[in-house]
Amino acid sequence: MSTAIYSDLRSRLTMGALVALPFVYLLLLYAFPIYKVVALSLRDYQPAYATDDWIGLENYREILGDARSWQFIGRTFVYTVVCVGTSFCLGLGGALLTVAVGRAFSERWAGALRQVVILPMIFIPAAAGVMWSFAYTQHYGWVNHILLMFGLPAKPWLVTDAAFYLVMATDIWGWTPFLYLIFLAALQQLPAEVIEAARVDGASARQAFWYVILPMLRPVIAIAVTIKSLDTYRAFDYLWIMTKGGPGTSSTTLNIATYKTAFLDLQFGKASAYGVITMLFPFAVVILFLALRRGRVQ
Amino acid sequence: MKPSLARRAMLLLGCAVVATWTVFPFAWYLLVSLTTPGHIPRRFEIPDVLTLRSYGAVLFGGDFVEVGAKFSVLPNIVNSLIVASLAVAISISVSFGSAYVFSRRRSRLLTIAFNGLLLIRMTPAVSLAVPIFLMMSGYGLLDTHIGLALVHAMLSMPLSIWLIKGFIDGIPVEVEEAAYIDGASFVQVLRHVVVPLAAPGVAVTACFVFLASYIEFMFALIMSRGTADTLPLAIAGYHSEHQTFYNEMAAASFISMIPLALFFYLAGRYMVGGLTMGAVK
Amino acid sequence: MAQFQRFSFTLGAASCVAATVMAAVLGGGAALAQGSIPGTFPPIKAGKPHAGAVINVPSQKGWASFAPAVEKTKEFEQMTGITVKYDMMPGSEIPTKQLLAVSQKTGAYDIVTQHASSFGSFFNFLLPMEDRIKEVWGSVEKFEDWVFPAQQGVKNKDGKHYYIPFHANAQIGYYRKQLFEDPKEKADFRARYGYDLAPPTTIKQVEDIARFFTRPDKNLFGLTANWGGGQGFSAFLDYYNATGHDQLGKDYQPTMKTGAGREAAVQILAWMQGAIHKDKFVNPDSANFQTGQVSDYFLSGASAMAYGWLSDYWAFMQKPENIKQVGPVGAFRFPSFTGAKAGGYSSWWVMGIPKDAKNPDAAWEYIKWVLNEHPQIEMAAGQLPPIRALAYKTAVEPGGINPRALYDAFAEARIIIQVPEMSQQPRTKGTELYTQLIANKLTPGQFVDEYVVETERTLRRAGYIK
Repeated sequence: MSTAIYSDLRSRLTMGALVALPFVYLLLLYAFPIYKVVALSLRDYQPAYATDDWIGLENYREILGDARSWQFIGRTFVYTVVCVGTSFCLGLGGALLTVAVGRAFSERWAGALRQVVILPMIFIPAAAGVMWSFAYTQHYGWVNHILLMFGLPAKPWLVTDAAFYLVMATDIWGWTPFLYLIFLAALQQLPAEVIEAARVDGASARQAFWYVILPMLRPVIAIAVTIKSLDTYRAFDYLWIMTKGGPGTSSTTLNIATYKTAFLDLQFGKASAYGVITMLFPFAVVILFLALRRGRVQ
Repeated sequence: MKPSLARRAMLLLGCAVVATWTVFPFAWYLLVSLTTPGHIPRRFEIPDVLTLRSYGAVLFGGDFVEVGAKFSVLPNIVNSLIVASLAVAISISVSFGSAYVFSRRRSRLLTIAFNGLLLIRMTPAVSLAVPIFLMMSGYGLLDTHIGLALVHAMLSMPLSIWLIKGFIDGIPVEVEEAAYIDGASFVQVLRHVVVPLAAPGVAVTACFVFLASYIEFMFALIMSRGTADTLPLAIAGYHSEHQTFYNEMAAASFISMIPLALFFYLAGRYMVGGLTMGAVK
Repeated sequence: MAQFQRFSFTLGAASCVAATVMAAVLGGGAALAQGSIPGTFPPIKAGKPHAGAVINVPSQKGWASFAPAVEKTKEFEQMTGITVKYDMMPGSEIPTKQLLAVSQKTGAYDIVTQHASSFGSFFNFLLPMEDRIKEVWGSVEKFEDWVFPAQQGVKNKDGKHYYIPFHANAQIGYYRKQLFEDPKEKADFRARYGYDLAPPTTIKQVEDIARFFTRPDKNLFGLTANWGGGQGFSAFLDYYNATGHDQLGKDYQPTMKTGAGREAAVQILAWMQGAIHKDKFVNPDSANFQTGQVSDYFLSGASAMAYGWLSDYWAFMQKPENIKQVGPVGAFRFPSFTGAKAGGYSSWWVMGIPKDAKNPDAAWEYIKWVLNEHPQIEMAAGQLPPIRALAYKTAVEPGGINPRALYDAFAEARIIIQVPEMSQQPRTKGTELYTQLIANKLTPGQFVDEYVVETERTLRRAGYIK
């Protein structure tokens, strides 16, 4: 970049204004709400009862002193780890399969496979949620049709203990294509000569994968998994549509708990405290991520 | 180097498994959308009634006056399109200049601001739900297109800046320098040189912002009161306390996938950059 | 309570006199001369005094029994020049969305539409109706007599009415006549149980018949019910009320806590749980069903009997093209668990005018119109009119559209919320506990204990009990 251009004051001012524009917007619609959610979390704000008292950390004390909240926190992490872990394996496996199909047959086959794999992504999550809810019903659901074929009992799965895991399965189904696409693009951009060279040197396919391909993919994996993890951590759509956190609270995560406390119980203060607790983890991860990256760059 | 027959068979088997995993749920659900209440099969068989009636009902309101489901999702489709278009307009117009500066200038402050966007992108939406609800309520923007669009534009602002910056990075700066030396002002260069060159990139970004708004569920849920409901709400709404229309719900689901299908199959090659916010290219 | 009423009566009378004097001084009888549109009762003002006003009316999405009112709204608009805008929201959001709107004073609604389990939260945000009621009916007592006695349970702590009812409904049982009248089935049933197959009158009979018809190999269950989530909790309360218990006793203590109340509650919950998980004569999906799914399931021929708010579908179920798979449908009053002759849960929907309404007077004209014979008679295809005489006409007199069972069930039904505070946390908590119970993860005893604790906490906080 040559510094010769746009060095006049007017250009610089215009640039300053341009760069500031989205941040002013975000100040109003992001920073202010963040401030507000922290401020509200210190109050007992219940609009329906016209209560709005400053109660300090009482909301936090109530939440953290409740064993159920810890279940919500734990469940949020279980949801994130299981979904991301499984999606990662399936996504990478799918990408490798696609590349292999491309080599063994033709690129056209690989392209067709790719279109098939990304199918779940073109369904909006709300629609996928209702579709899977339907699939788990006892009388119409094909999941139960399969069980019956094997002589197993049909169940209304979303009102059993399995509900939480089935929502995870749906999340995995819906979002695996996301990781798949990233891995596929990365794999297709790997220099073929390096892999060829490794094979010529006598490395088996497995060795080539572990010692050549995987290390080269590492940066992509790091970024993709970080993003996917934080997106999964925020998951709301499937859980809300499929179980609303039930039965009981057995599929309630932090996100669901925040929503329910706010918009079903109308306890805005307590919900804000939940909201603050919910965002602590992503903030920590992002700051850590940036710090690591900065360390590496320097 | 031709792979062995066994290997090819294995690969084909793998493809079959993958295809079943993704296609089968759709195929079954498609059958549901093509039949009528009372004819949804209870085991694996083709329903005895196959008709496009549900699609007609979803688009034009049904012949269900008796049970009161006289609503079509057409108004919701229109709502979704309006909200998403507004979100695109806001997001792109606010972020374009900024993305340009991020692309062309380097400074400590800019780096901090740029990294700050990551924090915004990763904030759980529910954490913002209460304050944003109260704000929008205060300004009378609940259940309006513009209110929801403002929120959606906020959510996709980081993505928008990253993507556009990525595309502008690809435009050689020499083109600008030439224009600048010819006496064009900064704003003129931006308008007549950078914008046309960045147009395809902006179009792709617009698609992403559009789709993000199109599928967004939570803010649509808390801010709606029935008038500006978007399509995801309408689909979920086919199952309510008093009525459940499985067939219409399925039909609406399939109709809702059209914009996503168009984008993913036509502009698929731009997708990866967008998915990872331009971090992976 | 009586004290409150007397007090409010005196106060009401005083304000009535005041209003008359004011009207005489200010309007000089202009309002009287203006009169009302002939043939309307409650009378709608003639001369379109509110022409041009736009009122926002929230209602429930996909609600069959309200649909005729929506259809006929054009007539109201022509009559009065008022424009009505409906906001249709999902049933589960009826309380919260409106509560947030009126408590934030957004002016979003001119009317608040609530049901028997949620109206309590709104009193602080509503305008009292007493004066308007007196203007139309002459006195509060006449109004209460004109509708069902249930309305007396909808008053605020100050003894005043803030709501006008527009919809009455009760949950009853439905059965397939062809199955019940089939000679072979009748003979088999008699051989097995020793009495004749007929619509059940005791819980034992419900169980016998349900067991008898449960044939999983033929995709047939004995009973299907709306026992999922919030509606399932309401179903439990319906059964509980029908054993002769209110939720709160005279001293505001929860009746479920000890003695007969607790016994009844445990018995009912054990029956519901067992019906799905042990005895299996209710289809398992019922644990996740709302009325819409019950209707779909029942009308596809998968169960012999159904329970729920199916009266919404009553007219629908009378048409041959809608019941091809099941044949004619009959209705019966769902029996009480203890055999008590008592009413269950009344679905009593009411409209009030919020303080932040932009057009309260136009909203009042609308409320009066909804109570008129038309649209009430049209709405009766999916509900019971809240007006006693009209309800009688549609359900008891020959040629009426509704089943007699619905009228009988409603005439004795109770208002579920006896104090406003019960609308909120106890209900959320009760629903949450209930979903665990029906998923077989909580015993009936645990349910009752935890629900009582939550109820007591709420009542204590609100100062009803110590």
